[in-house]
Amino acid sequence: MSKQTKKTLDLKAAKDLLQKTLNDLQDEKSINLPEDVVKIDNLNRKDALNNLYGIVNDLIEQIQISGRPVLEIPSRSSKNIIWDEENDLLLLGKQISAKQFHSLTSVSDLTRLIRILEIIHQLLQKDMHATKREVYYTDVKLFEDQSNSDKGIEDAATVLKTTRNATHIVASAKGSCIGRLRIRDKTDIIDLEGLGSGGWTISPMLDNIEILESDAEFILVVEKDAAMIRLAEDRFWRKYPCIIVTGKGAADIATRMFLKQMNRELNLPVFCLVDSDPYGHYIYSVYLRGSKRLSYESPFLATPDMKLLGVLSRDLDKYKIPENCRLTLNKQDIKRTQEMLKEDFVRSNKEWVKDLQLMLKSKVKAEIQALSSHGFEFLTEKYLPEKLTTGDWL
Amino acid sequence: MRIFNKKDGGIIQLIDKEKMMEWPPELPLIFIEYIRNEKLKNYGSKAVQNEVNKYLDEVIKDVAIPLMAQGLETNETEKKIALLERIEEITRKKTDMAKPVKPYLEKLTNDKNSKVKQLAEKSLNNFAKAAKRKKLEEMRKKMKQLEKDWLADKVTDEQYASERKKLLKLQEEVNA
Repeated sequence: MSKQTKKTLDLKAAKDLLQKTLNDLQDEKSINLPEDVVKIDNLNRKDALNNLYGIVNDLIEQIQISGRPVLEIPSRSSKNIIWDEENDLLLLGKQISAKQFHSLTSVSDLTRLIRILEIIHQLLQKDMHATKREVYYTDVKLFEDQSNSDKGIEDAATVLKTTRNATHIVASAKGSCIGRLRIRDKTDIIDLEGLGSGGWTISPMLDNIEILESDAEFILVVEKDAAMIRLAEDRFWRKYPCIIVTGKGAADIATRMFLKQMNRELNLPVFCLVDSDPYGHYIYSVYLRGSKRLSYESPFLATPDMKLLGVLSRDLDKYKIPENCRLTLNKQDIKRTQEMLKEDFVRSNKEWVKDLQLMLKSKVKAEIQALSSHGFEFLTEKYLPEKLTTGDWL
Repeated sequence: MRIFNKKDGGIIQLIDKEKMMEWPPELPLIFIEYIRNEKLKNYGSKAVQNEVNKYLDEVIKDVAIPLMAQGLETNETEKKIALLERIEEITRKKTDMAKPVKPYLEKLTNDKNSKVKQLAEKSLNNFAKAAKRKKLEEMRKKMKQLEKDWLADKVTDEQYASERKKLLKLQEEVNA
């Protein structure tokens, strides 16, 4: 690699974006969601318990009046998922599914749901957390399969009008974070620069986590652990002040929620580095607008101002990725790309459409690691600094 | 977050004082100590460092001391003891950090609970020891000069012996 590329660039475009973000802070308003969507809050323990007592009281009242109680659950079918153009979020519409206790078709689902609510009550009262797997094992006979308890957990969160994390039922830790950030986990101060190359495993118990200090200028989300290892080994954040996050593939709730927390509190520009393939673009879209399955939680999980830094289809020629590092799109890739191009939130971004169309036209994809065909340091010393300096992102 | 702008266009962000009001009483002091010892030197220009220092002083005045005072004045003995144990640790390791709570500790030396009284006294003893350590350092420096002067016959044997005796006595007290 030439000496020219080894010098530290000033990341002009990224800095300009940081200043713009900070200036926009002055007139920032809270998100106003449309009327026809389910609105939820990331409730604290006390408020979540109050909502739970409200539901139970309502059911008791129905039993006393009619003897035929009904529980109204917001429908999570794909027909009830709305893209809110103004806030750029996938949200849950107001279609309701009324589950009757006296109906044979819904009684098993409802019994499971009530059992989940009972478990949530215990967890909140004791201020403890449990994983989805642990919840399943509390009553294997009743749940039969973990997919049933998982569904019950999501239903319980929508009924309680809160996020899954606020129910104190969490998923196992998956993502990790490293770089210029200091956080608090209860009474421990954790320095994310001083945890070795592995970084901090993002805790699913995010209600215990608080952001204390940061001198980062941007956040970089990478799709894969392999890219994270490269960035960690090169101590990328030392040269370019940043926080690096990875969900190790499709991001779990805790990773997306922690990213959202950083984005909301630190107001730093967020960039995403994924493989140049439809799955990579899909992962980016989930960070950006939320997933359809958890659309009711989108305001607490999505990072709508996130930029797609790479690897873009146009980068393959621009950065001279050798032919032998490019892979041919298979049928499923082509189908997925075509499906993405039909999504409203993709169509609203012309640059994004252009890049996906280029992918379809060239019929090739490439992984982030293909950049290392120019040397292991190419990613950290040439590709990322150059893109962040020139503003070459979507 | 409280934002501090650096000359190069970068920023430093520190958690707002308001959020710290929800913390365990001893935590703001630990946080301040952490930033001052571990981070401040990396913040670049002196101007930014001074600004951050000024903010941390505000945190001491508006958050750390009121929270500690509130914690020490509570009627819940168990909580008070837990906080005093943390304060004792801080006074032992970083005495200067805990200076603002000294008057509250002095009040607790008359507390009815023997454990509370004992911990308050222990913390105050740590302050006294730290003061002696500081004095010892000053005396050592002074002795070095005095030794040179004594060898050059600028001070008498009696004067030197008297100062040396004082130093040894203080050294013994500190090590006790």
